[in-house]
Amino acid sequence: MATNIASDSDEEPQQNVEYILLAEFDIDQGAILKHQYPRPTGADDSHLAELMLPDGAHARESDWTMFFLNQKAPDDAGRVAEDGPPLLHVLNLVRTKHDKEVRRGAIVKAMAVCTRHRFIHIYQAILMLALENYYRVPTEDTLAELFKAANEMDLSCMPRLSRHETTILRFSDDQNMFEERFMQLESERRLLDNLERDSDRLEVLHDPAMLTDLASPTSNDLESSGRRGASVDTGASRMRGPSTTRNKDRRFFDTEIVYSGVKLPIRVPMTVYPEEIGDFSLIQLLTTFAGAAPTTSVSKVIHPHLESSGQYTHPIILLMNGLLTQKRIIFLGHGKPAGEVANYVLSAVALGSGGGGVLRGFANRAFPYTNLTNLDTLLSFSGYIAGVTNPAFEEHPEWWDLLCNINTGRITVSPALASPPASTSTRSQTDSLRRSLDSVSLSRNRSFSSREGKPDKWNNLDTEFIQDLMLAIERHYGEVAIRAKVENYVRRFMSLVPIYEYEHTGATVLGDPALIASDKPGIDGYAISPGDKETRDNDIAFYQSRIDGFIGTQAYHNAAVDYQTMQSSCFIRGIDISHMVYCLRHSTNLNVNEVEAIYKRLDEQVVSDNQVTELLASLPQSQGGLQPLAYGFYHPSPAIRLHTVRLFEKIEGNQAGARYVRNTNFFHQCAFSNLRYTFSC
Amino acid sequence: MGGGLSKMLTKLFGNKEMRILMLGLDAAGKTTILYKLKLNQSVTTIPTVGFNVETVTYKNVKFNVWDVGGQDKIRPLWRHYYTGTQALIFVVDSADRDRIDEARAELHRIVSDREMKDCLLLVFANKQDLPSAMTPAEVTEKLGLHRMRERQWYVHPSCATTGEGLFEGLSWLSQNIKTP
Repeated sequence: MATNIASDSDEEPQQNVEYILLAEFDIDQGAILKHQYPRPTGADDSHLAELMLPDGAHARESDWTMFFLNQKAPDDAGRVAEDGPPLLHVLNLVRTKHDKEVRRGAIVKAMAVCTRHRFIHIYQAILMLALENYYRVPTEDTLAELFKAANEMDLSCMPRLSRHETTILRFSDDQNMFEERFMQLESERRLLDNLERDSDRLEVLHDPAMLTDLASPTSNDLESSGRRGASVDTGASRMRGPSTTRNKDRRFFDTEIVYSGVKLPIRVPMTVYPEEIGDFSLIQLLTTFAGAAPTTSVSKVIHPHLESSGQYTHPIILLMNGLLTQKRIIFLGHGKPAGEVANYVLSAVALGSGGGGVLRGFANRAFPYTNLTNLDTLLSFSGYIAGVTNPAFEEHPEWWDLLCNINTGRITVSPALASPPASTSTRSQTDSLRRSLDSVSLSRNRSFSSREGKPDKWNNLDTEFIQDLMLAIERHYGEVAIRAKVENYVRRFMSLVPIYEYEHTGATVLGDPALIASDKPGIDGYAISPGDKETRDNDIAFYQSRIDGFIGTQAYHNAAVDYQTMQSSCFIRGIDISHMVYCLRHSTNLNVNEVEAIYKRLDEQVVSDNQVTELLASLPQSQGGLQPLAYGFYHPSPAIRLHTVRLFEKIEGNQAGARYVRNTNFFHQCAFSNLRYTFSC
Repeated sequence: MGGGLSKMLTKLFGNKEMRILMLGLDAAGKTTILYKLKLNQSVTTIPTVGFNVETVTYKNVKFNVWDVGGQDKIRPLWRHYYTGTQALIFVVDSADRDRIDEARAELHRIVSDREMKDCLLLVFANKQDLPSAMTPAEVTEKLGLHRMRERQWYVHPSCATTGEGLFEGLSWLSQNIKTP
């Protein structure tokens, strides 16, 4: 749970919106970029214009596209630099207006907002208004007005949640989980406003220069002023911040943008993970591609990275394998709006990154909408995830490894895809594994069709995941629940990588070799299934080719960086919290000593407020919250009961923790207060 | 056996498929031709952003026609559509004498590509309804088609808005298509 995300360092001052772009389709010249405000983005003009005017824009009234700026192409070794300008997300609206008066009958214009915000969809409404305005007043002033309005959106009262707090809120039943944080900022804000009103009265004649400075947020100092600063700039001229009414849904931050006299309410999601961009539907991606029968290409060699269960690999697993082993993946939606295609790409980013929260680097190689003009850039990435509407891509299998056709729901493995060079040391092993996998999948197929014999254990890993996922979708579970399942699945895969790496090379950059090497099953081990090394080894054997393909990818290198960062920044040291929670949640065969050791260690290690928050983050309320810990109240061992009570007392002292305790069932709460009374006597 | 029978039927009735790429300078009338063929009605078209692709069936031949935008800047993208193309329809605005040389240069660039080596070339000398239109012979001359000795080519006068000449062009294609 405790992945600290390096890209999340938005502590530095920043604007809401960095650039506004305007492109139009010139009937003589084609797509041209007309304006960039406040200054050029640095990207190639004609390239931007082509992405803003998607294929087929002439055939529909309007369309949305998305693409990113400042994507870093990998170097020769396949590494991507961590520094450099931040990834900018571009939301673009294109509109075709038929007009008999003009030459050739129509005007096609597109306007785009470039922002660091991942919740890019909040700018949809304002973009619609602004493009409409631009049709009326086609000057740069229209862009300037939009830029100003968007950057005046007040986010100063939005609490900056840490990664652990985000996780807690994301999976919380209690939408007021961090109410106090909101209240505090709001009261600070009121105080500031009052101060400013007072000082306005006093100083308005004193220092007029300062005031003009403050009143023009388009001047350069806005770039350097923080969010807090920006809000102070403009606070006096604007209406009140969010009201302090109770019982708001605090998983969102409510604010507004005032644009040409119109107040647009904005809801900023507070629980966004690093690789969740825009307002996509992972469920749509899964249902589109889960249905179709696997594409059985005739007499093709099975690619071990992709078709992990031979030719019967489930399409979603095929896609997952492609994402994790950094293949070139195209989503083709011929005749679909570019905006719809882009949503598939953003969903795929979330799928590969584990609901957006486990792995990093997928967004950097994602091209939510792209077309032939961008082909060279696309092919300079060793692996990409791209959305296109042009069926010409389908006819060039040398450009991609996997093609996901949105219209047919079929995923095709490129016939041009060469098998990966098997490392010499593991070649024979891989080959034998592949053979055994093929036979396994064959036998699975037999056993499924004839319904005899017990299903093979190896296949349960992925089959279970898919069945669970599909059942959840059938039962209308929400996006968050579905993404959580994907997150757990990827997290589980990631827990196997360091073990495999350590066992094969004697070293790993993703885990603590000491923990892995202490082959002692149990609470200190690294095993995800405690006490069952055999299961663990089977899992690793099953995923071997996927792990082989994953090692060396961008996500792998980022995970190594994140692991190091986490080691230095996590609050709970020396124990693996998620592993312990896993033990408590899933183990039936722990003996008394092991259980006692777990509670003792948790009690010893979890002391400070930050440590409690970290513990809570591994106990999401959607998975029962404190339930696994609360069983300690009923343990025959008095020591365990005592540790549990102490742990709960510390949890209760934490603001979010108090809500966790209140949300446990009545029975647990009684047990807690009874035991607390008993021990205090 | 079913496969054998359908093959025989195909031979008898000629159920052929043909991939066609339609190119030309901007505003030559490519999209109007495409939709006239497809819908048999004159639609008002606006400049194509990217491409259009439609299937037109005529005389038992399924024509898969790709119509790609013709603006100067996007012409370098044309080459991405060459793979598998069996015939090129090159559309010329017969009344645009100023740009006929530009059209010639583009046409020669297209057909000199290795991937277009074997494809048929049909030129529509379009917009014959305009008073200043060049005749098909003049277009042939100006495009330098006589210098293309290795290729089967055919110039046909057309008027996309009324549909005159379009199906005659397709007939020529269906008669000359090489069955693999």
